[in-house]
Amino acid sequence: MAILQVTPTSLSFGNVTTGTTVALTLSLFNTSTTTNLNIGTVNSSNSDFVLAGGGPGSIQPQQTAFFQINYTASATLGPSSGTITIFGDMDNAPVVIPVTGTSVGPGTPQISVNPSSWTFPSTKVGVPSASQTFVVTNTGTASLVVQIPVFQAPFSGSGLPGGPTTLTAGQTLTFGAVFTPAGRGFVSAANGISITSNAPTSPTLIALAGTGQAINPAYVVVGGLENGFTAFGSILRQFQATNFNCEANAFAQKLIQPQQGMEATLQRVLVQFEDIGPATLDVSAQANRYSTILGATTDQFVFQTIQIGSASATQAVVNAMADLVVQGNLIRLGFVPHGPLFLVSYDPEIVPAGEVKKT
Amino acid sequence: MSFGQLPLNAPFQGIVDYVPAPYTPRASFDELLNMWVYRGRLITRPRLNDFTVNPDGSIIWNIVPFLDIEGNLHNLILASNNIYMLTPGPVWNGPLEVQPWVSTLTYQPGDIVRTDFTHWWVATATSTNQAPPNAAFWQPIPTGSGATGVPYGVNISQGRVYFANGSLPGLYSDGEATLKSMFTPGSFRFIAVLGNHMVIANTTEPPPATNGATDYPYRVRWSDNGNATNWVESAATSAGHQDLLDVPDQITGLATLGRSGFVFRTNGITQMTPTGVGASPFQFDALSTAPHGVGNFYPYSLAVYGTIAMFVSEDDVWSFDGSSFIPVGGVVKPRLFHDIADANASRIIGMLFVRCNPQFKYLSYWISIPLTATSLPVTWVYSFDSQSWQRFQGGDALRQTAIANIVI
Repeated sequence: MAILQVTPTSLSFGNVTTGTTVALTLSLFNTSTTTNLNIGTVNSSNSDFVLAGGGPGSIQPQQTAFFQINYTASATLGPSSGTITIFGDMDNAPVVIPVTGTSVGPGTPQISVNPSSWTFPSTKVGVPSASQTFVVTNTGTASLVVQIPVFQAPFSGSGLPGGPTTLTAGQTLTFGAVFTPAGRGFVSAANGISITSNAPTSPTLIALAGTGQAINPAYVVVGGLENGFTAFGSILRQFQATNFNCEANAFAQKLIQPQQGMEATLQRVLVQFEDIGPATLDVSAQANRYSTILGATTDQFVFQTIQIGSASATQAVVNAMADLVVQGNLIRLGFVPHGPLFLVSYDPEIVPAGEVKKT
Repeated sequence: MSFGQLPLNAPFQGIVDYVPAPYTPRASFDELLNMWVYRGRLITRPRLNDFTVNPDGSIIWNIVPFLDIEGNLHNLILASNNIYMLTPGPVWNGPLEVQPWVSTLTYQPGDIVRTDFTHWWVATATSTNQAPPNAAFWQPIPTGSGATGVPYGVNISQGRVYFANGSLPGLYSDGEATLKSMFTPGSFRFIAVLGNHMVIANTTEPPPATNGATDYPYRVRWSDNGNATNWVESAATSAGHQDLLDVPDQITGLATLGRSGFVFRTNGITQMTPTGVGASPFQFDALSTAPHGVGNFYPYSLAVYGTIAMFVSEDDVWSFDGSSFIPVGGVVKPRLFHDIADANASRIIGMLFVRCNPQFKYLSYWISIPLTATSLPVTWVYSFDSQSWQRFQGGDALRQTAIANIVI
């Protein structure tokens, strides 16, 4: 029993420049230990692949013969495939060998730089920025020879190669660029970096830009709203925009003299205010008698809490009445708001002493 | 029958007490606390919310919003112990430090560096690669603001905030993360810009806590023309100084109003006029001398807003526009000066304030009076719009120390 063992079992010629021929070899081994093996015809299904060496003949037991298969890349670019079929008296005849190859154009180096342009962050005058990395890649099919990148001030390089660098297809070269502004303001250069190479697009220009600034600002306020702030010792307090409900004690006081040297009766106080929200107002009256001999004496203190303002504040001017009755020749009026108060006027109704008219 | 010409209508007049109470103007009050005259109405003042607390717990003496030279907004907070920048959050950034010592730099006398975050040094001689604490070249100075317990003299000029408080050498913030030296020969309490010179007054040279430190409470010193960090007096510069020895008092403030500077003293005012002559850039003339004139008796009562300077003399509160003095404290003098008399005179703080918030304009002069043995701290407020006085308290025993509008 004779078996023909073919190695490799398939042929791949890879990329081949159009019009050129590449040869690969098949080894054919007769596995029989006793019987010769006779090779008959060898056919190719695709004329791109031809038998160029070896052919019909006899292979003795345990011997090897070699066939040369040529692939000639056609004028039509692109992949090509077929089979080589070997006929003979072996028990595994016919033996079929798949073959593939790709016809490609003539080889060219191509250059690609990433990023293709760059704007540096704002940088303090005279201080080098952080280095920005650029990657040069050979995206072509032939070797790319890259010269040392050239920079235009105020841009400069870092980590540059010592001389021309050759990159095979797909290889990369990395270097850095630094921005050192000489003055304040925006600067840009269309040819911030110039890379000369053997690529057809040489020179490759990288646009660079950046802004020089006098300082490196820190702790900048971004956003936010303006407001009034006041410090009490180590505490910073903020004025509220529309809240007039003072958090601290508030009051107003006024001493009035009803009539020179005469006593009078205060019988009520009419308060006029802008309605800016619900609050209460303590209206007080303190009657004093003043004697040029004895001085002032407090005779009576009364107060009334009245409701002012409404939940649906309108800012209209409205009234409230405090019924208070005191008698004296000096009367000290007091107003203590609990909540917001916009006082427009007040009218202490005063009548001759002892004459109280309640309505 | 109503009293007199009642009712008592707006516009109200605030506190008036220059005559006994029954005889004061009808629309005035004997007492107003946390009630302000606003557009004629008598209103409860806007509420205050606790916003944030200085992380080191020391007193906030100045709140200084400023735009750096690149137009970025910063909020500089000058506190007793440290200096911060406040950003929205609120976030206290800092404490801001001076620049670290670098072995490759050459330092000149007056340079300030730090060797760590608690040790600051001032150069006493030119040096390169001579690290602190080499006593031949460096002297230690107080860390941070020096905690002198007084406000800072502050000037904002060309995107920088220059400041000192009588303890530290002059420093400035330009919006970067570190503070920088003004290279002043010492410290100062007051500062202004006049005629393209930075001007400082009431100096201590060299800085306090260094060898030979001497107080010059009567000294006015100015920088080289156009260079706020060159104070070396030489033929090559127009930097110089003048000791105002004619009146035996001390300088209590500096202000620039229009084209003239004014050196406020305890008992008088000296006008400082640019001459345009490099060797002698200023002319000094007595403008006002007590007892016939007025002086800024309380050192930190001087506050300047635009062309208005407000200050407290020994017997009145004055508005000064560079040419005329207008007494504005007259109607409340008895009460106001009674409060002041109870307090430590050197701790009276004057502040000018523009608005409580964008909706509530309130151009006003505030006189903060500290706690006394008999009363809580109080702030007297003079409203320019209503030309009236009212009193302000924060609702606790804390004293008001600074006021400003900031964006945060």
